[in-house]
Amino acid sequence: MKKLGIYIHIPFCIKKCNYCAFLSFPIDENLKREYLKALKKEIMLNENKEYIVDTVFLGGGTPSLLEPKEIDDIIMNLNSYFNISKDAEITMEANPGTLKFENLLGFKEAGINRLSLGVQSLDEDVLSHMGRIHNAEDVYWEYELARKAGFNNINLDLMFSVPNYNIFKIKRTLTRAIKLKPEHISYYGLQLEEGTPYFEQFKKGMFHETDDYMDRRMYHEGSRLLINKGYNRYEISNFSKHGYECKHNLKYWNMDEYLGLGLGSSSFIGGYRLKNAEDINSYINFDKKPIIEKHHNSKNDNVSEAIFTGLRKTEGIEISSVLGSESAFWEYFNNIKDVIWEYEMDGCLIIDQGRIRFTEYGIDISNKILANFV
Amino acid sequence: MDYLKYIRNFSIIAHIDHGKSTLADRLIENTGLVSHRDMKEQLLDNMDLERERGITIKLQTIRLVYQAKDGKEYIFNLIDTPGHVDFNYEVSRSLAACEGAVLVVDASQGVEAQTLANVYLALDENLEILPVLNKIDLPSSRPEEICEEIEEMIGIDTEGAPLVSAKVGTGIDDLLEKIIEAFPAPQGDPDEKLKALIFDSIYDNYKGVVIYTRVFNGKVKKGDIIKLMNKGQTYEVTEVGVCVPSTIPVSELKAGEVGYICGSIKKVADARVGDTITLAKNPTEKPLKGYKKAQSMVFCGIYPAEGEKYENVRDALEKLQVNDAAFNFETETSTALGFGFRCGFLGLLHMEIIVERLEREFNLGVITTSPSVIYKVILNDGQEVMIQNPTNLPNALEIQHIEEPLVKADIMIPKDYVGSIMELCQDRRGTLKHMEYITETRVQLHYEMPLNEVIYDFFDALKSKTRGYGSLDYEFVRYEKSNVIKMDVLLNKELVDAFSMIVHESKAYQRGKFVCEKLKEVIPMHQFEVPIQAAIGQKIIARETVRAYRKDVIAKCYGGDISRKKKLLEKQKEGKKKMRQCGKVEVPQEAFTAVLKFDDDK
Repeated sequence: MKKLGIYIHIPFCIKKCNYCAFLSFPIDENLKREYLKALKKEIMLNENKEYIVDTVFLGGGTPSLLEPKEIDDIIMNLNSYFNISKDAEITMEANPGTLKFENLLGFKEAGINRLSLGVQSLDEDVLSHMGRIHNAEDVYWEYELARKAGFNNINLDLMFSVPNYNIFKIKRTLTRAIKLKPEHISYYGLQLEEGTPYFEQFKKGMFHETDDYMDRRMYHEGSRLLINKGYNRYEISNFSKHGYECKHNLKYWNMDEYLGLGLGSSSFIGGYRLKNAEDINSYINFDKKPIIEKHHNSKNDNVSEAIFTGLRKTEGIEISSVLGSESAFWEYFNNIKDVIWEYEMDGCLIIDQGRIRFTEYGIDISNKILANFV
Repeated sequence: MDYLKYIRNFSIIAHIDHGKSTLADRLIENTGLVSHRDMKEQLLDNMDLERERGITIKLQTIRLVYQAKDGKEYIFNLIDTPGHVDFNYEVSRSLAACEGAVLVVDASQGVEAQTLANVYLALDENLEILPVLNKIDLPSSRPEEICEEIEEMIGIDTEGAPLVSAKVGTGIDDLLEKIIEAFPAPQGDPDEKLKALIFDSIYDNYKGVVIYTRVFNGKVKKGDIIKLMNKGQTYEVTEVGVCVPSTIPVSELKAGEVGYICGSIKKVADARVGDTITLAKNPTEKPLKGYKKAQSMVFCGIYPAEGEKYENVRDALEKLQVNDAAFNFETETSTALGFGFRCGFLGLLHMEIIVERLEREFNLGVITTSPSVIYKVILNDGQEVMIQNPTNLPNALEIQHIEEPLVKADIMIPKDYVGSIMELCQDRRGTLKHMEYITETRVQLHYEMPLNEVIYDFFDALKSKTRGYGSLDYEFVRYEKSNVIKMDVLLNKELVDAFSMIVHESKAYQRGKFVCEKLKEVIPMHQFEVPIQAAIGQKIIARETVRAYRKDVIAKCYGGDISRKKKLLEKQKEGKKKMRQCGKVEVPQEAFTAVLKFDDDK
């Protein structure tokens, strides 16, 4: 049977962080009730038993703000309308500062078996500058609670290139995070997005963007630290202990099918890329599926997406997998062959044993290279 | 020759924006043949581009029927003239087809340099001039003062000059009557040998070249074999007619009349403006005076932009050439830009128009290189070569000296700007010949200036320094010895020929610095540092550096929103498409024109 991943968006937070451009709102009991009702309806409308669902990802926002009962409801619902595999990876994003032991137990009980903690930093100055609601102490404490509650697959999200960071501080954060021995670490660079408090502050000149040199140093030195401590970088920003790669995220890079449910979520299913409504009121009041974008992928779409998503993985792409054979691939990209070859000469790409992958340097300028394939 | 009494052939002359086209529209509207419904805004300007820029490039002529107050019906042949300094010759030929000229003067702005230039052209052709004050509906209009100005500056009587507002339509009837009074009827003898003037020609897909003509003597009809006296070619007439403004065939055109002739002529260059038409069998002895060959003054390279086919650009240029006798081109190759064309124009405006037409009418993306003039290079062995592409300049050791074209530039400005404009002209190596107060507040400066300086950005600078009030008219005077040198631009140590330019020695450092700074602004960061250098021979005179980027990676791709990521990459790719590869450096197309733009802070 075909496999499917399901993403569910929970757009509530206690407070928006300074860097955040995602769809989220301060939590409000009424709005939450309405939202969960709509979500239930959306699950129902998408009933599909042709697939085996092997990953579920509850992202946000802050899904851990929901009561264990509410999480349980969602998963029960999924079980009624989909074939959820017994050993499915079911991840929930959680923010330190919101986790209580009994809730964690409840989430575990409901079926959550992977926890992704939005730690971002373990440096007090940096955390408060980012507008996070927690401090480093909360992270250590709640991480231990999660372990006690029985979570044996935990990810920590960490961010670099945040204002006020320097290379020493980021390494200290990483070292502290590694000491906790999480199974997985996501290590992202800050992006200044329009509409965020950071963006406004930046425009007013209240801080400088981390320069490219420092950004890359934080990334590469941080990566090396993680790799030396036994974390495998399987994707540009994702590191894990062996066997703990995030199966759900891998679907995004492998052109596998996934269904997005909830506000503003994206799907790739049946050859279509879909996007849900981003306006909370229209989402809550939908009759039919709240889809605002529907695009049928052409062959060209599939080819270029397979490449630019696949190349984000450390192992890169298997050339023959894209168009059936290596020769078909090179024929298809005949017009940019020279460009690709030149990138290889410049040490950006490695083309070897039927695969293409980025070098460390290639990662730094990956967009420029990937743009050739779209 | 009774019919002649009821014909009036005239032009409207005016400065840009003084309302010539609007006035023409009103005349058309207030006479016969064009119904109100068909009135397009500004009928005579038939190209989109012209409508947008408010200037007439391609002439048109129109035949109007006017029921005068004396009860008689008059034929008015309104011959439009192009309104720019680059097209002086064309203007003069149009005027030669007329007996009178309506001089439109903006009642608040007064006489401008170009008005004067056109008036002089009209006086040269012995035309009667009827001054008309336009835009009298504007609160800022001051007709009495402007009338004085006209009398003072041009020396024509403004007694009874019609006051009109072409925009709202006042005074038009009065003007129509005045046209009959003020302008003489044409003279000529239909039984004489044919002598007709080509004052314009256009190319029509079905008819071939359509010649617009004024018949001075004799008559011409379908089936006649005509001879164009300049080159002596003969053609059989397939159609004669008049423009109303659509073409309507008539049985014959005779002395005093204005109309069109078709004769399966392939390109407009074969029926050059100013040429004389006569009959092959019974030719007139002497052609009309005043014929001049088109001469290109300004040159630039035109190259297909990235992704544009060379053949498409060539086809478009050929089509434009068919319709524009003053435009010419030949193929050339640039290492930076590949295969392209060297094009010659009457002036800078003419060049801009051609480029815009390529982009708009033919939907082509093109890159233009720095405009250049023709330099006369005298080699050590005494040989003279004419060079219009900086790349072709011979080795400095072989050159004895170089001469550059000088123009006589007449600049008219309000007196408050005299200081800053004299400074500007001096900066452009101008020599003040003469300065006169035209009125108490208006000054005309007569300069001699290298054409090279005029084509660069002089006009923009003049306009910007005088808040649009300055006007310019120029014409070639002679070649003069000059210390000009070739300046090259190197990107990443490699010479990019398309950026090479010929500059005066005294300007080289300043220009080199400016070009490097401009390029630094527009060239994106690369994986490596890109030095930008300006050089004279082996000597580097200016340098800037585009630093290398280290990062171009979006780490987040949230919740599987692949489409967003893809859009970003597509945008990036689009950006790249607009790049030109110069060695290892990607140069955006706008870089080629960015180095020409006038900078106010400079």
